[in-house]
Amino acid sequence: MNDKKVIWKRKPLIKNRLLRIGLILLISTYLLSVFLTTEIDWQRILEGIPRGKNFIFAFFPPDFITRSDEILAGIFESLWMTIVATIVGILISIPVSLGAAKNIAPKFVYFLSRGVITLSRSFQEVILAIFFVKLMGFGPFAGMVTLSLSTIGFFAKLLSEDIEDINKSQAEAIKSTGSSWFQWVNYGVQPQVMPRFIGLSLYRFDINFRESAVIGIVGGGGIGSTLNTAFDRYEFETAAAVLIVIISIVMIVEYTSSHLRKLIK
Amino acid sequence: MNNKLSLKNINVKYGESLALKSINLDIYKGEFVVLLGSSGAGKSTLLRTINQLNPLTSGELDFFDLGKIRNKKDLQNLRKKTGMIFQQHQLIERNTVFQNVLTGRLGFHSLFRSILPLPKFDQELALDCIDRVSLLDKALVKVKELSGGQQQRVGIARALAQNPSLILADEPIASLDPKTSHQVLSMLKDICKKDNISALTSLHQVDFAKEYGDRIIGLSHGKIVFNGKSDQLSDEILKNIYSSSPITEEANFTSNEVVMV
Repeated sequence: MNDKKVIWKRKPLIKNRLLRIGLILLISTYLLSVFLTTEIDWQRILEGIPRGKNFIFAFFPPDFITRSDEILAGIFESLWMTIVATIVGILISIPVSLGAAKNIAPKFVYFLSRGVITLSRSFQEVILAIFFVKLMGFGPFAGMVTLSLSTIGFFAKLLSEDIEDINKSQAEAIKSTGSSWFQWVNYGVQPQVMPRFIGLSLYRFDINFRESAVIGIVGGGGIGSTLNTAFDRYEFETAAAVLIVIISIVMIVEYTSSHLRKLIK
Repeated sequence: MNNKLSLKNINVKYGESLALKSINLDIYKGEFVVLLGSSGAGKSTLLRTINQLNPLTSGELDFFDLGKIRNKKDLQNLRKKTGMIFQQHQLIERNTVFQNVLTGRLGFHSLFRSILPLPKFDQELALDCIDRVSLLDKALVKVKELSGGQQQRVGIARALAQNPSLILADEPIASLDPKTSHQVLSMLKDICKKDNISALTSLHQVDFAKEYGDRIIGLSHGKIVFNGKSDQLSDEILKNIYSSSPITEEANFTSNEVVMV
């Protein structure tokens, strides 16, 4: 019998002992030197604390009244932007996501649609917004176009992945009844992805509203513009009011959409 | 006019290997034909070649009143008049029985018409078909909530809603227990006889085939090795159908079963 206890040890990621230890040493020296050379100016941090305190106190009490017209207008603009952009974006996404589903589209269409998605996803909303504000001038229209475009990248990518996961044999039965291609999509594919479709739409609506606030800051209209103006005028009480409004609307939208999504499943 | 479906010299190739080899077969109006053969013999391929869910490599189809199938339009008409019943029912599980049966009517409408709810005529026809498979009380239940036998009956109703000339059934009872199998098969046969629909049904169980088939086709290695009445189906012939299976182990298993029968 073998008395020696065999203790199993996890195998190291890098087999070569010398290489392993060398790499650990190298990385730790690098990190240490980074910490040592980063200049942390404690003086400035200390001076900043009372300034920060003043800044935060300047928000109180939030003032909803003085600029109530502008705040309301901002909310409506943002909501308009969100609703229109979500609908337009999704309508364009439907053909794109069909094209971007490997199991449905021919190769050429597939690569074209994937290209559209990648293009839409490669620019963050703020960058797109800056571009469209320059192109179309200040205001919610530029914001709406921005949000529609970024909706395509998000929506078509996720929906096409869901289309790729459908049960092909269920859809095949529809084909065997002599239906045309579009009927096949509408009756064989659509019912299988519908819950996901609705869920994604609500989720994207939620995202678009939050983005609409950010886009406003770079000139895309909506509640973000109102916020930006308030800061520019040093009206921190109004800014606080706007922030509270944004937070509450996001909360309402988020709560409703997650509740609705639960209902569909 | 033309009262039969004729397959003439059908060949189907999968890559290099021939899945079906020069199949010649006639199926007459109102005839209930059963297809026997071991797994991999080409039963599914043969069924799916008739409505061309599998493309055929060469050969000719002559379909009842439609005549020769020459182009896409002919094929669509053929599919319209051919109901298919699948082993795994292949219904849209999230949808209700009614919605599923109604898809049998799709081929009769244009895309734009089918986006709207289908006309009353089709809806009533669908309900009628659901009634004939005795599922009227389940018409608005989602298919995934039904039992296997009920789901297969929905499959029959969907095929029936097409007012078909031909029903293709690909091992319709393979995942059902014996009692439910009898229910489903006799229901299918009764309906076909009443409506004078031809049927080609592939089965695994020889006793079922003998009981229900007006005629039995034996398929082995992609070739028809038997074509005749069920009482002509001797043990010798059964051995011939099953023993030369491409997968040896399975062939042994099946022929044991055959001996037990």
